[in-house]
Amino acid sequence: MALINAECKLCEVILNEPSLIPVINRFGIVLGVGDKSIRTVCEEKKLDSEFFVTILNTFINEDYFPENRLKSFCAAQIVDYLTQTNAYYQQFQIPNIERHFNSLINQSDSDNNNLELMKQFFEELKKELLSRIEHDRTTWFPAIRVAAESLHGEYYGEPLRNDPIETDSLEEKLDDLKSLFIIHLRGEYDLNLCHGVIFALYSLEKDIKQHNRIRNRILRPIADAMLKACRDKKQ
Amino acid sequence: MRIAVISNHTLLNIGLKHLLQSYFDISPALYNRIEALFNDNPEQFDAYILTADTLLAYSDFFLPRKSKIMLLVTQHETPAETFGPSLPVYEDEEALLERIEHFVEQLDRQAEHLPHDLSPRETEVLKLVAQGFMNKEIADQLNISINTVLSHRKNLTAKLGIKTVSGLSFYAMMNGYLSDIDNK
Repeated sequence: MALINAECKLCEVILNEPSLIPVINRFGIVLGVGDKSIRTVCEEKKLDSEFFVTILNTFINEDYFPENRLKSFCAAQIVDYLTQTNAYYQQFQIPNIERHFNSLINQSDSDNNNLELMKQFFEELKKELLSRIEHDRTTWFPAIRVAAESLHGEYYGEPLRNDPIETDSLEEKLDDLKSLFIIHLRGEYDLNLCHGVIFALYSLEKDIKQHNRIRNRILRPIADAMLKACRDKKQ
Repeated sequence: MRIAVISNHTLLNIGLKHLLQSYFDISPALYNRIEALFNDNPEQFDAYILTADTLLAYSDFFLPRKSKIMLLVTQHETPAETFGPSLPVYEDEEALLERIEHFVEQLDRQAEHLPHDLSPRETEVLKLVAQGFMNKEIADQLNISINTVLSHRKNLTAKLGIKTVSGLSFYAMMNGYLSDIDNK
């Protein structure tokens, strides 16, 4: 899809790309958006339209990732956005997958213990995701906020380059779970409920990939530079 | 899949690149001059799209790779259909796409050589991976080198589409290679 800009009508963007609905929710925008431009909606909601448009564009276009522009936004803003995406996984996407999974298991042939095992694999993945969210909430994000406040807009140097990012184990496990469904599923099962689980997994995967790109390639280098600048200041 | 397009028509090359990218998700390497291909590790490609002139001039390299070649036909002459797949560049888009589609299908068929069933050795490696053994321990237990273990693991991932250790463990349980109790 073509890149959008602040003068585009929000409704048209969403009509073309409904997967953005949860993303706009994270900015406090709910359905019934009317036919206003993105700029007007952002002014009403007191949102930074440039940040909003950039996030939507990176979400729609998997190849689009303007690192320099993203790094120009303030860390607190990025932390707020990632906090909202974490909340969405925790409160909506994970329970949604579980609900579908449980119905799938209940409605399927009880001899089919493959599904039970796949659910256990999902539980393992869920545990890993929740513990990352918890670490963000209690440790990493607060440290970034404190650093941002103590630097008070001071120049903290260039974002630090990380080592090449290792493959993300959550993304890999989600990939494996998809393979278990698509390649290796056996036995009798309810087709519709099975689709429900698979689509929910794909949607979580898409969201986590976007989250990880922002987290690893934008927030981490900024945060590392800020935390270092704070340590240097104290010495 | 890696394809090399070799012709001195820049626009033709760009047009082919566009078709391959949009419809087949393939980004070909473009070469205006054949020398550039030979300076660039020519064996790395799975297929070559080139003119008959180039093919004849460099037949030592191209003829042994006959099954991986598509010929560009630039003039309304009798195309060299007998040689193999050809691409008459003046045809309409639909006809071009259909020819490229057949060519890509033929290449995919050639590439489809990996048997899908696990070999007995791969199954053994799978069981040990699933039980949480490290590569070194697996090598010792099976009396094989670490490199052989790594190559079995690579095949497991390619055949099963599963990469992580926990994914492999659950696959092993689902298929009775490992009981739940062994693992937990």
